Amino acid sequence: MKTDENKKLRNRIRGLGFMMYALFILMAGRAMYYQVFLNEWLSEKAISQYEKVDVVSGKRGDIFDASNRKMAVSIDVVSVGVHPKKISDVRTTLNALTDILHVDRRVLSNNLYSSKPFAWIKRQITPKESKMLADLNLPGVILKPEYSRFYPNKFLGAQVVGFCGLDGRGIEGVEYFYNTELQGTEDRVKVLKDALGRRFESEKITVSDSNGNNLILTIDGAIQYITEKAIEEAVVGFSGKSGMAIVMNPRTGGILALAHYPSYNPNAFREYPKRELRSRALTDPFEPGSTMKIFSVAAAIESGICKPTTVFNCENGSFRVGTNVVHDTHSYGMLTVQEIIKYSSNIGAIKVGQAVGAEILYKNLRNFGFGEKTGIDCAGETAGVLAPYTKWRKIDAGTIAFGQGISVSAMQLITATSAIANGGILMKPHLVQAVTDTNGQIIKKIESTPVRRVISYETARTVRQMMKEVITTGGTGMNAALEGYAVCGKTGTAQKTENGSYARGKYVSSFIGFVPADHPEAVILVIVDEPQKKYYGGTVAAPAFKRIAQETLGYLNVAPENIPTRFRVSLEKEGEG
Amino acid sequence: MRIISVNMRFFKPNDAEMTTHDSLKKQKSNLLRIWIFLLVLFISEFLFYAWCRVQCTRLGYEMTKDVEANRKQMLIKNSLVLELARLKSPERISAIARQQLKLEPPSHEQMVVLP
Repeated sequence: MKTDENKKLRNRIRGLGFMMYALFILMAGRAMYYQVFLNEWLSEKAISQYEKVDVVSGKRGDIFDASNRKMAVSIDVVSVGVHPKKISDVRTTLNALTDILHVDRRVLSNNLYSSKPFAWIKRQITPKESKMLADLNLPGVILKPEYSRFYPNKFLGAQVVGFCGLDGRGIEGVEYFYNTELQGTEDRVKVLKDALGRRFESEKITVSDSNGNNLILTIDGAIQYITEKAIEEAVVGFSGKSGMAIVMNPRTGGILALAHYPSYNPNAFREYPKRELRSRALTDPFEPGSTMKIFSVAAAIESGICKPTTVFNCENGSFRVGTNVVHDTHSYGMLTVQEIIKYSSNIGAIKVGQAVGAEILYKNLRNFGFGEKTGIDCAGETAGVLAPYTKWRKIDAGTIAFGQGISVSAMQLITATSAIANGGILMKPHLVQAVTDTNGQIIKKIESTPVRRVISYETARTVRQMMKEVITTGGTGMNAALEGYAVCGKTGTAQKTENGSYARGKYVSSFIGFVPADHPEAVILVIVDEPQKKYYGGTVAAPAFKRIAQETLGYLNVAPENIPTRFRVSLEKEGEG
Repeated sequence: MRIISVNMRFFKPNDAEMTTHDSLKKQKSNLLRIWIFLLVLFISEFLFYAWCRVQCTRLGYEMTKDVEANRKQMLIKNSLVLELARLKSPERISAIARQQLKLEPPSHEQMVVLP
């Protein structure tokens, strides 16, 4: 009986053991199924709970001047947005945001009650506002880190550098033209976050790889400042409407300074009228006036029609061209070509233009780059107006020779003059000399580009000699004479046109020249629009040229050509010693 | 079985008198020791793995903290760079030179050209 019970008990234990084994095998099988066959699906499900994807925006590259001064930088700021559906207490949020951000309550209210998933409240807030909002930790309100563009030198080179919009894209100037180089990329980075949303691991910690490239300008901040101050002084001093000045290296085509007055602060560009934001030296064409005479004379000499000593009758200051009568400022009789340039005789220039003929004059002016864009690395450049010679009237060769009936941009004018300073070779102007990566390594160097030979070296030297005479006693550009340096230059005074006819009392005064005369380091153009007190280029623009040239040469360490004797003696003695 | 047979070699001559029951008890005890050893090994491995994961997570938090600290330092650096740019601006330098130090650009007579 007992044996039977034992047997029964043993069988029950065995059964239970068998059942346990079966359950264990079942569990093991199930575990194996999950681990082996559903491995990927389960992993993805787990990852989706703690792994998030962050969008990391690269910083926009900086812009430096030729001396490594920062002209434009990106700074970290915060923008405020809301997820309306995630806001728990709309009234509290509305009050808090209105108090801290000082935004329009009605607009804010519309955004908070909106059915949209997301709405911006205020972009690029101040650090103080950001801290106050972060402390409140309002549900549904997000503080999104962004970059904002900042221009530490404010007005300096504003039209050259340009500015960016809220989205960080360039709108004007170099910022616009080199937007692709400057703009950072957007990267998606996987980050691990815990249940509280705290980040504890990520694929990539730094975002330097996504940052945009930097630009190094040809503009030098110091020369730019000298130029801006000089043009401001000229415009304010003569109650002009506006002004611009350019300094260019004739050998490379690099622009050392490009100044406008009035200018604007790119940090607050919305507060300025749109006409002040563009680079007028590139975008606005104007009749150049007498500065055009140097190119007409260059055409005459290059074609062999005239020599500097060739004499023209200047008709004692009054000469009828078609239905119009052209006057000179002073009455001249017979003048050589050199004197026509020195005294800026309009009648002499007309005679030279007529002697050269429309076709040769046109071809030479086209060679100098008039009527076509210079190709400078900045948007919005005008080609100016130089009609084909086949469409010229009989008098046009004469009037174009002294700068009427043609319109040019300031950039075209200085580029053409640089060709004379550069021995007859026209260089392509440029504002950027190199592109560097985030570590400052040069990844692209923008080389000087010769466009073509415009005139022979001999012709360029002859024209330079004539331009030197303009600055001597009796010449129209005496006010541009520098101590210690020989200067080549030409004055220009052009009457402005209004509704198709020349307006009385409205002039564009200009002066273009280069220094030192024999080994030019800088070509300088000064233009003052509608000066009120006086209007001759030699009176209004030449003094500004002088100031820019004097200070720029000193800054560039260009030694004076005629060193005072006492210093020479002391140096010789030092040399002997 | 091999382990048991190895252990048997160390039995003293009088051990042969030991009963089968004692021998089985000894075998079970050895087997238990092995199981306990394996269990301890697995638990230790599990604890070590858990410790590693905790360390990884802790390091992750520390790295995040350091990155945040670095970001704040970079913000300070950037504002200092901007301040430097403002202080070095040609406008400010020129104003100090002309107004405070009463300097002006030298005339060509004041220039000494070194050979």
